[in-house]
Amino acid sequence: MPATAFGSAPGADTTGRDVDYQGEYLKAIGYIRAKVDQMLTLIGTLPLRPEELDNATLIDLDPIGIVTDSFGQILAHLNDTNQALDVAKKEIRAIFDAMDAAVVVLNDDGTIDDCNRQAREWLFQFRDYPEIIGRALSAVCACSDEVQSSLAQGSLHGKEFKYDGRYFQLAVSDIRNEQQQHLKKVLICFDITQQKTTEASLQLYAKVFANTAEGIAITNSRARFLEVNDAFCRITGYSAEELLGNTPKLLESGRHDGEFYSAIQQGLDTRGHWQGEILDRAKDGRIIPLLQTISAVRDAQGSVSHYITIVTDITSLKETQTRLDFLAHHDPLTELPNRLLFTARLEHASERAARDHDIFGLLFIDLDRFKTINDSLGHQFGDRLLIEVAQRLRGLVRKADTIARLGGDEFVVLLERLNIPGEATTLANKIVSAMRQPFVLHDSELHVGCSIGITLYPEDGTDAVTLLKNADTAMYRVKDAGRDGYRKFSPDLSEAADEKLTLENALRLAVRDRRLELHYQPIIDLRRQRIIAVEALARWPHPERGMIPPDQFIPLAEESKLILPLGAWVAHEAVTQYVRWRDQGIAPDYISINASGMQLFHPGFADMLFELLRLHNVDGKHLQVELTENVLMRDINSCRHILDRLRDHGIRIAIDDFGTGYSSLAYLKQLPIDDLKIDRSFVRDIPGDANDCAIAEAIIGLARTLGLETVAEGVETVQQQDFLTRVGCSKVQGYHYAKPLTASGFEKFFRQFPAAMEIQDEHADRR
Amino acid sequence: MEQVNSITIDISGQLCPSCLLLTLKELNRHADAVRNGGTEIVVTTDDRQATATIPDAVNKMGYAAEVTRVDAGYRIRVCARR
Repeated sequence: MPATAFGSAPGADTTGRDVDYQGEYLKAIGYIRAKVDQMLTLIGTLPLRPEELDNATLIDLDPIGIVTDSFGQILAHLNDTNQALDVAKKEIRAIFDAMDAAVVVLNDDGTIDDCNRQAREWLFQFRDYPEIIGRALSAVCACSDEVQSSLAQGSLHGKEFKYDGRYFQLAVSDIRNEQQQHLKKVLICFDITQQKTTEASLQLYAKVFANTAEGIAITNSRARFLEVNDAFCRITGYSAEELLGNTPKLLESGRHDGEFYSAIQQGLDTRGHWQGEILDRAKDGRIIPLLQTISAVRDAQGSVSHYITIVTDITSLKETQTRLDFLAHHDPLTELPNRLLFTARLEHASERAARDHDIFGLLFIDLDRFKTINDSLGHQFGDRLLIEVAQRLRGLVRKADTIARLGGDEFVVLLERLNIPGEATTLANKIVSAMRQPFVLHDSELHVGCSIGITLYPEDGTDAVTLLKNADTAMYRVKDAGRDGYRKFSPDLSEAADEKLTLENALRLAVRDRRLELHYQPIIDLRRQRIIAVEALARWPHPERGMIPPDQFIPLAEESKLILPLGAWVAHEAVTQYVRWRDQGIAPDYISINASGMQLFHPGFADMLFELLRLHNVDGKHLQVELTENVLMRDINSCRHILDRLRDHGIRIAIDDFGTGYSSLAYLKQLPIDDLKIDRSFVRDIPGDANDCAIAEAIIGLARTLGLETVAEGVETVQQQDFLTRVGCSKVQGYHYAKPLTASGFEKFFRQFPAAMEIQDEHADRR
Repeated sequence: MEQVNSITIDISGQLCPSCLLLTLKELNRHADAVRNGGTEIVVTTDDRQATATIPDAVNKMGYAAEVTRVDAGYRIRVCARR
């Protein structure tokens, strides 16, 4: 509508009433101005002044249209801004919930305004938001009252607290309005559990580092010590202050060459670690053997940042090793090389002698009376003696020679690089003489002596085994020949030794298979004209060699200890036979068996006899044990103890072969002995030989003085019988009456006695 | 840099609220072009009051305004917000 239209004069409207157009126009203009001013004020500017903008221009400018358009743009812009705000809020929420911290926003009244996902999880047990928002913190968080109130006040800022298994560190910030009025409080709880765990681990590592027995040192890449623990200081003797800044060169002992240290560096460069034994030098100059492990530590870029060295002091381990090594190769008693080391040296000597066309000698030494000493005086005494013997031997040989103890009382000497073969026998002679000298131990004087067998390389063997075996053979020949001497090996000795070994094996089988036999020789009391006893004698019928005499196989049995099973068999067989005869009415007073020293001193000998007697219901008085003088004199105390036990059970005791050994009358008196058996050597030449007659008579007189009876052995003639009877010996045995008989032979003899004696007489006279 | 089309209006001698209304009228006319950044409206005025009212109003509408002093008075640049 053109402005001019409003300026027209009053007219009539459609109803035909008169209208005041001018007045209405001015009212409309006034209304427009008012509304425009209202909108301008809203948009932020001054109202329109009529003097600046006349009515016509106002209509022309169309301010309502302009402002309406602008309002449209304002609304659109507001809309855009709201949408952007929504997005921004969502972004913030996402960040809020993604934070690795629990965030709680508290209203001024202590109720919860908002919280993030972590807070729900860590503090509010996964409650739903509606259960959290608007509630008091204390109603939804079960942490302690102290933490509650502190949280509510925000006084825990920077502090740590523990809740539901986690450690938290708290940050608090206040939100205020423009008037600085307090609106909200934001609590942020950072989970520092991992940090705490790491701290605890670090503390633990620190303790391990400080307290471990292994020395630990950390160096930088240029091998300067950065840290050392107490153990490292203790092992090296340096204080931490002295070590820090220094390099391991400080500890070098000078015992390793450059190559050794290069190998360590190479190990570190290629494999990142090195382990081995190293000799370092402690501050006081001592060499310390260490087991050392070095590891290179690399940084993220792969270059070495540190080296960690761990050392264990193996001084005592080394000492133990050295000692063990020594013990493995030496006899702990005498500290002489043992068989193992000796054999190695002997083999080495053989190789060298073969190469250099040398000769060397081997002395095999066995002490002569060691076993007796050991048995009678005890092992401790025996051990002391062996130490003295070793000492004496050391004083006799050259430094280059080897003395070894092979076991028991066997020693060997290896004499290398002999100039002449005679040197070995010269030394053997010296040793035999030296061993003849008494040993003084605990105020006792001991006479020992030794037997030595000698072999020479190469004539008596070229290998260790043969040389030792042959020396042993030669030594045994010395023993057989009466001990206390030496003998060089020769091939015929070897044959004899082989022969002995064969026989020993055959005997072992015979004992095992009970192929030995007992023969029985009557003992006759001439005064009473009756067979008072019978002596059981072992016989060995060899399938090829025929009957082997006891003086051959008994020593062999003693040497091989076969005498123990053999003796037990004899006792058993004799008692059984005695019972068998008794049942048949053949009843001599007792049956006599022979026992060797080895048997007598063997524990269980007496008990074995008691058991045998008990088993067959035989009184002890029906059994006699014959022992030689030498056995009795070997260890008078043990002997008396055993004989007393036998006597307590009624068993008779006789001394066999009396007069051939060495007896102390004082000792004899102390022993419970019944009979002395006069050795056949004194009987053989009586009555022709005046000396023998005197000896026989003296023995009989002596026996009578001691209250003992005598039995003469080996009586073969009536003249011998007559002489013996005359001088007071009425108990006899010998071929004159009967040779050793089989069991049935004895039965026959017994039943026909004394008529049988006369038949024997005829035989004897015929011989 | 993108070429911007400038629409220049000189309202020197006009006082507010005429200045504002004239500027808004021009802005309303080119609203889309200004909003997408291709066009700007540069107003020259000697009314000091306009340097407050114009930026105030266009800000509410979502535009940016930049006032600089020029010899004749002021130049107010109205453009899209970054």
